[in-house]
Amino acid sequence: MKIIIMAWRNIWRTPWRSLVVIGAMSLGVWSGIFMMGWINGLNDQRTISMLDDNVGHGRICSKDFLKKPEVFSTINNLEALSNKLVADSNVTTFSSRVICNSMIRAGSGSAPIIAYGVNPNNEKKVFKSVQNISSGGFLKGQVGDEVVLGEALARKLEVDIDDRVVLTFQDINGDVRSALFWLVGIYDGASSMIEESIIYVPSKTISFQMGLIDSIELSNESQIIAHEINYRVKNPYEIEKANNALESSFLKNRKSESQSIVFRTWKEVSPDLGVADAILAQSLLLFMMIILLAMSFGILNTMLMAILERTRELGMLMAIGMNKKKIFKLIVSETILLSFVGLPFGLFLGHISLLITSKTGITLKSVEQGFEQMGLEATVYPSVVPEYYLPITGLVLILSFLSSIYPAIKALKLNPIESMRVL
Amino acid sequence: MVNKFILPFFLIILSFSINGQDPVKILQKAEKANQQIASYSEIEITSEKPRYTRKIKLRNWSLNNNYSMVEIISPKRDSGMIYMKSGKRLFTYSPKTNRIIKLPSSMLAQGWMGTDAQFDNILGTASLSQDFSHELKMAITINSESCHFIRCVPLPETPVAHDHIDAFINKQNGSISRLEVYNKKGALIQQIDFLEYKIIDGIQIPVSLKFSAKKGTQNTELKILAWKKRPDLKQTFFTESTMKNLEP
Amino acid sequence: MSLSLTMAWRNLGRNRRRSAITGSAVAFALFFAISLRSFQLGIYEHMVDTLVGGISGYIQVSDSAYWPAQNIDLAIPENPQWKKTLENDNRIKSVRPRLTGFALLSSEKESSVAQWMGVDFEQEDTAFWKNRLRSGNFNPNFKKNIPVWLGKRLAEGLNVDVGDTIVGLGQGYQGGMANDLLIVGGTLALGNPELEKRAAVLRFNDAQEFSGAYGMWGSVLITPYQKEKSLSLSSQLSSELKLEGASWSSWEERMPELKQIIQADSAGGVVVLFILYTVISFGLLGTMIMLASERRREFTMQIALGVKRSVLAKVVLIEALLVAAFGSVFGIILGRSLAYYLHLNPPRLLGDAALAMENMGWEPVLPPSLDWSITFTHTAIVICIVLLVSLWPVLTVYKSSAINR
Repeated sequence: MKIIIMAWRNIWRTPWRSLVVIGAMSLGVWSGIFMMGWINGLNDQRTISMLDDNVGHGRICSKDFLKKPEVFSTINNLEALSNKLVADSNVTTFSSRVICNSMIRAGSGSAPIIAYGVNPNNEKKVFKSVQNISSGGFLKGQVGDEVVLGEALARKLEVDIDDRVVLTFQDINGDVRSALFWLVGIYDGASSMIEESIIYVPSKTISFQMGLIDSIELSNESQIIAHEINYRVKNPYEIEKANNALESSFLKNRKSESQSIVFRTWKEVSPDLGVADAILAQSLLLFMMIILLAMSFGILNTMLMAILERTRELGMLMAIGMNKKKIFKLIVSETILLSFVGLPFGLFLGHISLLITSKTGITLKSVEQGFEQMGLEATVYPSVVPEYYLPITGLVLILSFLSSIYPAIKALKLNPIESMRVL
Repeated sequence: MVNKFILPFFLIILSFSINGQDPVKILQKAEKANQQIASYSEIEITSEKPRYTRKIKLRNWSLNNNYSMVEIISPKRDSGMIYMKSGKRLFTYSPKTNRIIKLPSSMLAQGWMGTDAQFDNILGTASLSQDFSHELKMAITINSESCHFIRCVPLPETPVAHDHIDAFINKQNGSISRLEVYNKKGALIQQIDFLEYKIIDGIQIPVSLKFSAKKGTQNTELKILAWKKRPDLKQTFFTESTMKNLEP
Repeated sequence: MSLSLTMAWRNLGRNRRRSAITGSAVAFALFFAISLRSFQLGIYEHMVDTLVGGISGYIQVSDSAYWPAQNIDLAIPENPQWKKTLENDNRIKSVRPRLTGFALLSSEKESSVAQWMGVDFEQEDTAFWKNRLRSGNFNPNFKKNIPVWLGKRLAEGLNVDVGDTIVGLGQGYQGGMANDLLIVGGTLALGNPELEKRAAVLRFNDAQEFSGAYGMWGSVLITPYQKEKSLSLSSQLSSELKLEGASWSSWEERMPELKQIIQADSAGGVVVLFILYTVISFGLLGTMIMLASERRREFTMQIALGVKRSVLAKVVLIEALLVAAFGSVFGIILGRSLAYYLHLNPPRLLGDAALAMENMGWEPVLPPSLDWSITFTHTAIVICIVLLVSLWPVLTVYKSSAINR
């Protein structure tokens, strides 16, 4: 007990030295927490950005369509499925698409593209890319002969707003049909590849042209037929649960349907996003290790220096009669007491810095332009990650402890007489 | 006295006869000439690209737009290859691999001979006389023949991407001499010249056509070397077994 | 000046332990900085290697109008002499000619449009292809028939397996038809699902025969030793080793989106680096604070003896510089050695991540980069930091009163 009091007094006797050690520990904790928050925020932002752009959180289509995207491979029981999606508590919004592989002819060229027949109001709620209209406007409804192209495609075909565009495709009977559309808007997509291959048309118009529906009913708001439904959930990282719940709920009384419909999560739709996530997690571990090692060395070095600085003092203590075991305990106690100040302070710093930057964001000036081209924001919002606080604090505590042992042992080897003579 | 009456009278009649030329009728007559007749023909296609020129010779059995069979007879490397359009399906057969392959229907939408000789690309299923609005312009001489000059602008619903098509109809034989396709900016995208017509088997056939695109850097010349009416051709001719056992 | 230098030198020697501790602080600071950055950049290099290296090449030589349509009509005539000159150039690691085109591949029931690539296996890096093989082998005995290796997903889509026959039909060279029977020799994982859905690999001679492009190259893939210099090397070589009618391009020009993704990610990584530097700097600062504290007596003594404060300050700075220099050398040696060792024996990813990567044809490893510019940049930064924090003992020199303590 006396040792602890001595330790406490020692700490405050040499404020600078103590502050340095406290500083090193706080910094260790802060750096760990902040890095986790930063990387999480960065990765989530990127993943979510991609999900928002083109992937969606979950996707439903018919099994046949997945194998081969034919005109007639539509989703059965669309209405029942839509009702289920509306009722599901996890699902926030959804949008259905009619998918048409066709040739587009316009201006001075032609190209193979995929036309998405959509209900613009729903599509906008699920996907961000259709909100980035660089000229003109998006589709006005499910009916009409409007078409929206990507910037790269518009450039390639040399077309402008109000130009004629002809889509040639096969209808449900296998006949080749041509349909005229007028360009009303140009969108800025996530990549030029997407811009060159995806166009948007009103769902009912294209369904009618493809022979999927018999007439265009203006009164009925809901979509009658679709090849694919994309939906969003509250938390895309918990998509598996939501997807499974949705699937089992829908198939509960429809055993026969289970063979013809497929429910997929974004990880299945776009496996490379999932892989990027996994790679990141493991490289994060590596970086974390390096930072914590650097911190340990910092503490180690500081402690060593501290011991060196205290040789006189320690020598004196030993000369007075304090035995080596007690000196060891003294040094270790000092470290532990310092950590009682350093660790909480580091935690506080970490939490506050994440809290603030998660609202204001950190802007990466150097890549602002490049980011914007990709449709990403150059401002990253770190996430607050309370689940890491305990492990990181624990780790820093252990490392600090270990880092102080070596200097402590060194102290024991000191020769009391010599150390008093040191200059 | 009589002169004073007669001259203006003549002028009036003359102007009537010019304005009385109904562009729709002119085009209808011209389009009739290109109608589908069951036939057999031997065609030579010369394709000029910036880097190379390619000549192929083929034999063509055609019932109408939906049923036709093409066999390549030259150059040697490709000879024997057969393409057949039967209804909505497209097939190909190669003696080298001895396989008949059903081509994906998406190719139906693309103009499948790989040359620039694609009418479908320009008009698709549209008809110049019916799906366009017309403006009769000053007569002009094309390829040493005097022609009507009709500017055709697609009607709002016509599924054609072009801004307008200028049609030049030979006054003498009533057939198309040239088609010029323009885009919105007024640039000439494509031009088809019907260089020579011959009367074979009682029908007026264009035997020499030239398609030019990309400012004359890509030209395709189509020459009909032989043509025969084939009323015996029926849909039943266009089958996979015929492909393997084509008549010589 | 030389007096200060001598004094500094002697001071360091006088208290070896202190110098060693300070020196090792610098050494490890640099070691950690180099290691972190090498790993960060190494991941990108690995990514580029997988997605670009063997597929479209770090540097590509092809007809000026070739990219991006990759029109087979625009092939260039073979030039073995030019190739030999390139291969002998010590900046170049490998030179591989390729021929590529599009064709319809048909199996019994399915057809798919594919991009076929003629690859000269003898000249290729066999490890590259072996790593990507998922079934079959590269030495099939199919007698007279042409073997083809399909992207995994393409094989699935066509519902074919090793040994099955498919028909290849496409546009050949200059309008001719490419038309032949092909036998599946194996399947490949290519790292990019889109590529896997449409890639078909043929032997180079077979590809020339198939398309009728006898004696032609579609493009030439060049891998330099210093991959990070692809862009500058590409423009350099284009004037040094001209090839008639051909132009040179580096992957950054052909795949700007990949480059952007890397830049974006790298910027994020810089923040992590910043965090590391905060920790490192503090460590160095702490060392300096302790050092100053320990030597206060020594300073006051010297001042009392008449040494000018400015001279003392100069000595302290020179000491810092010397320690920084030695520490850096040591740190560089440590950092480079580890990077080198791990580059050859890279740490492997574990668990699901590894499986997912392998599935995509990526090798599940994290090899650090060996780029020398990392070393130089960070050595400079660390030395600057050391000089900065050494201002603390300098400050102490000026604050020391001859009387106190």
